[in-house]
Amino acid sequence: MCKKALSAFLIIINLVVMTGCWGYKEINELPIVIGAAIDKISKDEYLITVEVLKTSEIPGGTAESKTTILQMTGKTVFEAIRKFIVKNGRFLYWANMKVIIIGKKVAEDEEVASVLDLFFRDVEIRSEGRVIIAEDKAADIFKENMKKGEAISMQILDTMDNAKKLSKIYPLKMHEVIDLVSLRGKNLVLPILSPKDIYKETPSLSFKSAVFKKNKMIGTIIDEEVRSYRLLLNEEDGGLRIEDVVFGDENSKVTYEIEGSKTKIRPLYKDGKFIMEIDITTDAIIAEVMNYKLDFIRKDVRDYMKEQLENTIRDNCNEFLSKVQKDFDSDVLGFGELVKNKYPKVWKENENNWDNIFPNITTIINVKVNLKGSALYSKIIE
Amino acid sequence: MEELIVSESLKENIKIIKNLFSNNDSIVYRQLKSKNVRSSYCLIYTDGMVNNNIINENVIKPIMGITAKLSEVDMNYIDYISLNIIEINNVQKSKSITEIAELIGRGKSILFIEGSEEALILDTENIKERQIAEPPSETVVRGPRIGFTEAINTNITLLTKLVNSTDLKFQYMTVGNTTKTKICISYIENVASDEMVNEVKQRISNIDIDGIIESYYIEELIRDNPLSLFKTVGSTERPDVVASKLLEGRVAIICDNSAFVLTVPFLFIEYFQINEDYYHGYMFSSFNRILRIVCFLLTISVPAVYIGIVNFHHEILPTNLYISIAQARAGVPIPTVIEAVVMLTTFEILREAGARLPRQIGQAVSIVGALVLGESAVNARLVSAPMVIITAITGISGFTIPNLITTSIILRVLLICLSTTLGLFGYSFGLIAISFYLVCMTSFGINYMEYTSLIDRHNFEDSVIRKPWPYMDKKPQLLAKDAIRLRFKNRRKGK
Amino acid sequence: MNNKITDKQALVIVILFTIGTSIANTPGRIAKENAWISIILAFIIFIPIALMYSRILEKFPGKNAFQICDIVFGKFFGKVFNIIFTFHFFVTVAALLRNLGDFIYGVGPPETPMEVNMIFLGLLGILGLYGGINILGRWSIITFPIILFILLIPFPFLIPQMKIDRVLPVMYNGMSPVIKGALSTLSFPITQSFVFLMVFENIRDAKSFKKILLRGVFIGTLILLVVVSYTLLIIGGENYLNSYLTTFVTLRRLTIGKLFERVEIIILQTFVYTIFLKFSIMLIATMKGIGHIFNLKNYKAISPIIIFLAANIGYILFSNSMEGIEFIINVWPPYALTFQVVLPFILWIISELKTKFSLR
Repeated sequence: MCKKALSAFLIIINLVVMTGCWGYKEINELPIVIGAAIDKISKDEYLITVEVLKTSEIPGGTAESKTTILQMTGKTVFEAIRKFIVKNGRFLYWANMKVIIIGKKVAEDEEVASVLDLFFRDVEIRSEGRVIIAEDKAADIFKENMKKGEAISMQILDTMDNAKKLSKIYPLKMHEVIDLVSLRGKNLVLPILSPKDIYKETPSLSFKSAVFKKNKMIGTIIDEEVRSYRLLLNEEDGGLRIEDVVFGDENSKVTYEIEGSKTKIRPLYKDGKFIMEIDITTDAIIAEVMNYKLDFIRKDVRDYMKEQLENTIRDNCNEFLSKVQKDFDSDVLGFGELVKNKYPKVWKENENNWDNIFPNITTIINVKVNLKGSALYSKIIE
Repeated sequence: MEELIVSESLKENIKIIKNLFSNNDSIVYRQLKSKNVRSSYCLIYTDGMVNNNIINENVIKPIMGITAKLSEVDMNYIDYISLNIIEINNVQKSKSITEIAELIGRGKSILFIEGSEEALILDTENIKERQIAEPPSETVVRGPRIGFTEAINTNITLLTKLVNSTDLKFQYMTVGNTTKTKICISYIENVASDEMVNEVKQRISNIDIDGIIESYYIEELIRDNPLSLFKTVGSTERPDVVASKLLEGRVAIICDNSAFVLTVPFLFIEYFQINEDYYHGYMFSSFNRILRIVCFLLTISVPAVYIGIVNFHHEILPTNLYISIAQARAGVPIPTVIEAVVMLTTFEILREAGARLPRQIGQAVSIVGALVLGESAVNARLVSAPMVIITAITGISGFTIPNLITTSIILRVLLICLSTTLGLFGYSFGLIAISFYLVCMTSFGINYMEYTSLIDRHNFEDSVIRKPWPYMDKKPQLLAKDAIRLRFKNRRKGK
Repeated sequence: MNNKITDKQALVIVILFTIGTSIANTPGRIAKENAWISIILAFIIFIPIALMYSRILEKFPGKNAFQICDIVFGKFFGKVFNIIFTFHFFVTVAALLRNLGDFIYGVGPPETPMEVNMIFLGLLGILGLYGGINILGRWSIITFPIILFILLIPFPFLIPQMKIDRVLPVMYNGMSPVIKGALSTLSFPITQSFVFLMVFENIRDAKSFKKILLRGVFIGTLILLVVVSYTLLIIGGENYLNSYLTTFVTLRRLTIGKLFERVEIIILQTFVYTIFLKFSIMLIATMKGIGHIFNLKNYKAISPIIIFLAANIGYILFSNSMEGIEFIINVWPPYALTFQVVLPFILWIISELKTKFSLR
């Protein structure tokens, strides 16, 4: 009996001691990567810049987290990352990465997907980071730590969120990027960031976004166009529209607050030609009337205002579409995917020719605006 | 030792008893003679165990006052005495010296009569016992404040008072070669299954041990598997608990000199059921029951899960939490596992010390605990603050189910070991092993994990939650004969 | 300890068995976004097969399939068939071990070598073996609701991330990948329920076996269908084919408020429970077969040896996860279907003929 117990005990001890704790990593040993930037500095070399959060102990009780910027070069992205261990002595812990910034040159010359491949494949790295294109060199964004104590990546995130609320950009997470990349009938649009966007005292109000074709960057679009882009994607977030309303002899600036929009795009295939029918429904509230004499209670005034707003939206969309179709020839709205879903056979035939077909697609835009109310007062202030 | 029997000669009898009880000065030998000179008697009892009043008034006085002549008595002389002379409520006869010797130790007095082959056993016991009070180990907010005492007769009366049915049976047995402890098996006849009762009787009669000091000895000796971690025999100090278990078809074992009554069989779900659930509202009780089950899981899992997450699967933590824990752990010299083991050991030391200390010094323990564990250790960077919280959660949730403390400690250590080896997957392996082990167990032939599955709906309603009585029209009685489902008629009308 | 299990326990065992490893290695990969059609198709094809299985058991009540082989084919060929069946179960045991090893290797900390996880699962399997079907039934009843709850609860929270056009257009690539996917689903896990012929010999009567088998596989397939549909709607067809662990990728996207952001590993712990059950049953079948072939009374004692052998074979089955995907798509269906459908079919035909002839 004693022998049995002893042998069982020895086996268990052996099992635990000899087999244990490989993957055991203490939590405070790993430096956390919060943001990364990828650049290409020569034909063969990539430059990776990371912002790293390290918890270190300060004598006196409390511990502090500082962020440091590290850089490394390598023939591939992964090699550069591995070299960090040589410098640092420790693996980097990627699971909390918030932003990935890709340099402009990389975005233009190479396919975005190839650069991001490592980050998607690895189990540890979570694909929640936002992908951003840098205006020039990605490493410039991580140049200095302007506000002490706060990570640059967090500041970037804040800037992104603010811009998103104003409908100026449309940030994408990494897994959404990968999803888009694998679709044949839709192309990427990613926000562009430049160092002055974060480092200036006054926040900048204008943001650009990059348009991709076949996963390479080919051009940029700016504020209002991004807004139309989001609207057409059925991803409108709100925002303001300002109109000059002239009715009778009253001239007023009216601010509308957009509550939300719904956009439906329907593909039609008639006689060998593609037509896209776009229906937009927008809910708006009259937020501010600068000239109080404009009496918008009257139905004809409201009808006029509605029509004016509808026209503005339609014109913006048309502008955006013509730019995308004629100048860029990049199907960013996913017309191809819609055709694929509705007319699979047709798509199969025309798939390879889509670049030629796309600029010639006629688009019919119908806009309907619902004026939902006028905030607190239904009357003008007298 | 051969069976000694009572001899006809009084002198012989006294000599035998004096031999047996040699060097025992607490035995009193009272010689008597009655007025009909031919008879001499001897009264033997243990000093201090008998009611002197009864002996004086009801035994010695009547005997000394016997006037009838031997020739006038037409029945057996001993019968004449027991029927006419002795004014005591319970009188028995015996021929066996061993029995007599046993009964002297129980407080009964023995009357030897010259010329008679039998001795009279008189019920004169007056053993001082504890007052009936609320049991200190199981207090309730609402409920009867009665607890069992160490005298077996009192316990039996408490049960009879609660279950006033002629079906409630009591059967005595004696266990323990040296201590000869009296135990009583109690059950309700048409509710408990016959096989169960016979099984209990058989297991008890198989016990071969020198002494039964407390009922736990019996508990361990009749278990299905003496090495198992979990209890398969329940014990309680409260009569209301035993009565309700008897009503469900269980068998109770009452042991002399022990205030803890055993109930058999004992299923896993009973760890989480207490009598107070039935003395409060159903929502509160159901919530408490679920809380207890969750606390059991917490107390065995929390250290293991913490280690698994913080050391293996960091991705689970959101960024801010990750940073706070990393900051808390910065500068702590020992790895998390050792921290956990040290803290838990310290907690157990405090608990054990608190249990052993005399009450006056008990206060110091809590102060020391708070200071040592809480402030100083964290400030000196010996342990990290999250670990203190983990220990606190583990310990406190362990106290919600006092019966499970010992098993929790062992299971906790096992899960910590597995978690250190393989992370959260080790923890899952451990849980599978534990749940499998639980399912394998039986308690006196019934599955240990009966009533815990959520699939059999009717079993569920009194185990994990408690349905209010108007809705519990089918009370599960799997332990009863033929698995009767009782139907109560007090459902509300119009439902 | 008698080996009787109640109908409910048997049903739950079949359900958990069907879910098995397919939560993580979801079936019907090659059909990409039409995998849900594959699963439905697979179940429809399974119905006559299930009827065939239960018919085999009906003819010889109270005996398991090993003994039936002996009766139907005679001593020599019966032994041959038994050896073939046992070999197949043994290979499945090896594949299951490899499955778990890969899963933990891919999902958890990668420094732990695969063998450790395999050995742990092996030890648990031996526990299951010694307990017997009886105890496994009791265990399943207790753990099944919890597993189901933990598994299905997160999915409704992913609804905002679902886009129906990931599943459209239906049948874009035609019928052939769908059929291939259906065959793959059939072979793993649906017709693996053949193993129940070996193991469920003490159910009350064969009619209830039919009901249990059909109902159990139906519910298991339904649960799988729900999981696969959610997965497809969230990550789309391409990812479905290319990711090794599809449910893991799906659950990664789960965010409830800001708190439950990264809980995929906790939810996938249920995988360990289901694979434990499947592994135990396969192990019981293998050991019963070995016991039957070599006339061993105490067949449980050599289980550690079998486990180690199986772990080794599992290790060499395929070298990396790409080969693994190819293995599952191309190699396993024809191999498994032979053993799980074709051979039982032969068994059934000959048993029918034999009873017809013996009646005359």
